[in-house]
Amino acid sequence: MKGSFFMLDAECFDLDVLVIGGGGAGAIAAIWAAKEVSRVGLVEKGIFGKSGCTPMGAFSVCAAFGIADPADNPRKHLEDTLRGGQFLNRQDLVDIFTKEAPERIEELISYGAKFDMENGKLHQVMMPGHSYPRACHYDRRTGPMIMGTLARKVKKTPEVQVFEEVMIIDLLITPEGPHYALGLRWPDSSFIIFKAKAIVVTTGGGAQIYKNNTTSLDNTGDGISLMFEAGAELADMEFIQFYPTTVCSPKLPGLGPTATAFLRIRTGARLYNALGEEFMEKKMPGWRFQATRDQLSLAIYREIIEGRGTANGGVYMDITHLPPEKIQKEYEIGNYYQKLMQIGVDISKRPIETKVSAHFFMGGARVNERGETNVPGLFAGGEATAGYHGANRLGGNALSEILVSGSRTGKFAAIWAKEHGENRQEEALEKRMNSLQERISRWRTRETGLRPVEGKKQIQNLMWEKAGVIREGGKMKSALAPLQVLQEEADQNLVICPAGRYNRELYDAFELGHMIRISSLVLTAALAREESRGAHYRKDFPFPDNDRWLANIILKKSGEGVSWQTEKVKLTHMNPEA
Amino acid sequence: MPEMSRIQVLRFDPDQGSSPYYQEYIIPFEKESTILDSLYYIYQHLDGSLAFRGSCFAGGWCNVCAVKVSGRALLPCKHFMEKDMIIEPLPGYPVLRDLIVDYSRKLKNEPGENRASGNLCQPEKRQ
Repeated sequence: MKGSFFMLDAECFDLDVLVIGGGGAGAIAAIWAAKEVSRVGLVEKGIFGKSGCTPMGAFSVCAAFGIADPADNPRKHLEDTLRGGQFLNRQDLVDIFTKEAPERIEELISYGAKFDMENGKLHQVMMPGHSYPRACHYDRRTGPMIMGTLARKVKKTPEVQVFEEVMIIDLLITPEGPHYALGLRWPDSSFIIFKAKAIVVTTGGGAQIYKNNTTSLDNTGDGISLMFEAGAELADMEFIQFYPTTVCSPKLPGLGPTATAFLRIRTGARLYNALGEEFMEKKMPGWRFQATRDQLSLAIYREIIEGRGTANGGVYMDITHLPPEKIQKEYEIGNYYQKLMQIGVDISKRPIETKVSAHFFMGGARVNERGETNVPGLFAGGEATAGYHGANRLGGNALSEILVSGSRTGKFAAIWAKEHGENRQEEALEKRMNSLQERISRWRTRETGLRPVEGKKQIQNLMWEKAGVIREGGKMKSALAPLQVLQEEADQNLVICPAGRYNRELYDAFELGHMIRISSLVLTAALAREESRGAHYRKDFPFPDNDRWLANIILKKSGEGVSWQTEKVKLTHMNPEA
Repeated sequence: MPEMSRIQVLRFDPDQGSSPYYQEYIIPFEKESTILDSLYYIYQHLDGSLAFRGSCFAGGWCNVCAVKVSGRALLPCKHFMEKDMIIEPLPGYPVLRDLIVDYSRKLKNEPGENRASGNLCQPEKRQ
């Protein structure tokens, strides 16, 4: 696959399909692409199998096997997913997702995945928003288990070559294909060029634009930002899932950022504000096993901003009303109880503080059922896409969706690659490369200026403050000017250390650019949607408006800016209930 | 005056041609911060050139951040910071720069080192 093109001073690889992003969606995309073509590249910004957000998925992967309850089926899963997404989902995509999710889990098992079993069958439990128990799991380490299984399978697939610690910093799309992706190696800051007939983007979301978040540091929206720049349409960028109950105080190293949520999901915890009031009971009777993440986040965040939160900006989650023996038994799973005891937290005796954090992007590239964007030969899967989860994702639907959308996009990208030929564009590529090289040199040689990590911090505070859980038109507009200032500062005044090897500031500099772009797209869409729905709550438009807003907002690059239009949701499978 | 923590980090950059050396950083002590948070604090506030790995920052989910802290190989995201720490690269692997090692080339029988267990960089085994 390796070769040298033209006069470019970089290692070059000639591929059928390049997959960008080595989480679960990317790994399964590469596996499926390799069934069709022989030259598949998989690029990962960190260490493959250990980076991105898939390994952080703690517990549930939902699929309607109907094992725990034979009445469950994909249609019921579709109905729950559409209700949870407040009917903003692409119904054709949800239909495929819910039908194929069980097959993908069986595929994982055929690769050696281990799930918790009962009587020789997959053990399935309830998750809020689902009407049947359909969450498969493995201990509290379902995500690492899935990622490990897929990574081992990729390594055994000779058609797939993995490139680790390489960040893609530019895409050059040519109308007739092939496309080019320009990468930067973290180990030595050198360029690496990929030429591929089809490119698949599976880089996840960008929850790192928020101060409070649950994601890995890698989750900076790189792929969504690169696809947008390359002309791909994005959808639903206003919908960011805020996880209602994440770790606040004490910190629980080793249990994961959403560890506290387990108390709610497993035994139905009580939530108290700082005044000791059990506020959810008043707001939503019966909320414990029913409230979806959007409803709960909004309710909790209201307590905080109305001054009834803890000093750490959280509320208390409590299960001390349950008998201690029951607690110890229920929380044997994954040694949860014991691990907390080791940190000095006895959940049978005291409540835990919990807070709201950005968790997941429902929006991303607008794709069809094959994972194709509007740009020929550019595909996407997993969290980098829009459509599967609508205005709010149900718990347990992420890990199964990435398997379905990832496998499909890998397969169809490879089929595309087989049908399209060669057409080289190295001159254009050389220009882009030189301009990037100059930019990096300027960052390196500047004496003073904005450090990328400072810029990132500014974005995180700005977005949390102005476009977080509770939004309002005026407030969001007031974020546009500071964002513009930061953009100019980043364009003209960025400074990084000169180190050639493992230069974290160099990665951060590119990530900052993506975070600024993603933030501005989130603001554009969130300002446009003048209603409240799912994870998008606007104080100035507090109710859903089905007459006007049963529609997706599509964003597209227009000159140096962005244009948007709405597109009515096609209710092909189910109508919203009254 | 807040409580402070003294952290010595073993640094090495083959491009600089010098031998490895310890660099001392003084940072605020926060009892609820992990050792990985301390490294990030140094990177964020004191020294942008410090090289280390870390993805999940959540306590043993990605397992890429392994280092040696005051003689013990561990995942710095799973342990709270201390007031006096010596942080060195994970033993048993070639050092590429500062705290970054080449996981793909395990050194054989490196003498006199507190070797990390082979599972340290694998997802945790089920208990």
